[in-house]
Amino acid sequence: MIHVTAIARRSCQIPRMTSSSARPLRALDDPPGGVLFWLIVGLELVAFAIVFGLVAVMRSGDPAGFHEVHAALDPRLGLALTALLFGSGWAVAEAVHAFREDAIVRARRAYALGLVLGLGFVALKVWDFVHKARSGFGLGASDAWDAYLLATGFHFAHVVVALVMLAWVALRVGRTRFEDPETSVAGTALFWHMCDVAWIFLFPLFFAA
Amino acid sequence: MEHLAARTKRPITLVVLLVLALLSVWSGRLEIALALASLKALVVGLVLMELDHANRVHLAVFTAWVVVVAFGAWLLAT
Repeated sequence: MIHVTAIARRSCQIPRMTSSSARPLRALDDPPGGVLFWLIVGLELVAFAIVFGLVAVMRSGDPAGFHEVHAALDPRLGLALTALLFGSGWAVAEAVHAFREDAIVRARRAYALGLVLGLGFVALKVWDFVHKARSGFGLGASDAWDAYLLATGFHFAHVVVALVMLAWVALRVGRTRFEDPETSVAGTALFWHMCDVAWIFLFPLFFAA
Repeated sequence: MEHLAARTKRPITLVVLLVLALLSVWSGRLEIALALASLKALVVGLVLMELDHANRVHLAVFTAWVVVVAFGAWLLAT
């Protein structure tokens, strides 16, 4: 049975969106998060795939150098960064669903949690970059260290952009009428989850093995 | 019941992702870590990026990207 959740509308502030585990499949031209953000995310995923490929090629060409990087990297740091990113991704997903259910207070709280965890990731990564540079593993130390710093730096730049977009949306939830809530709310969340996916593949290349 | 399942789906996803990340480090092998990374990426895609409700073409394209990246990284790195 096709069921669409009834959503309480608050004075026409939020255009109609649906949220339910039993909602119907979307049309080809109506992806979750909107076409615009899926185009952006698609291009970014292609760019990240090229980065992963380059790192993998460099790894096969310099196994000793990458072994040195892997040995120098603390797996607890990798796991802490992963936990912060996943935790933030979960909180943002909760915020999107709360917004769709018109639970604005819950959405704001979830956004706040997501932003705090995301900022935690940024702070820890900045510390990592500074610590590595002070330990003599800055850019130019070796090809393997360059690969680590540039690949995670590329990801870091995306995280910062995604956080700015999330903060922009979070500050406006419940206060401003979004012209296109699917793009504004779910689209920015989609970009954030793209950062999760990119990190998921960076993690094994440097931290796990 | 469906509403409860929808509510618990995302916290369970977080726990699954964290457990898989721990297993990746614990395994210490690239091929296992990449296989687990594929699983994690698919979980994120299905639940957090909501591809479970998207058109099947979108899900197929995303799954293809995950498989190509994981297999390609393993092939190029070893």
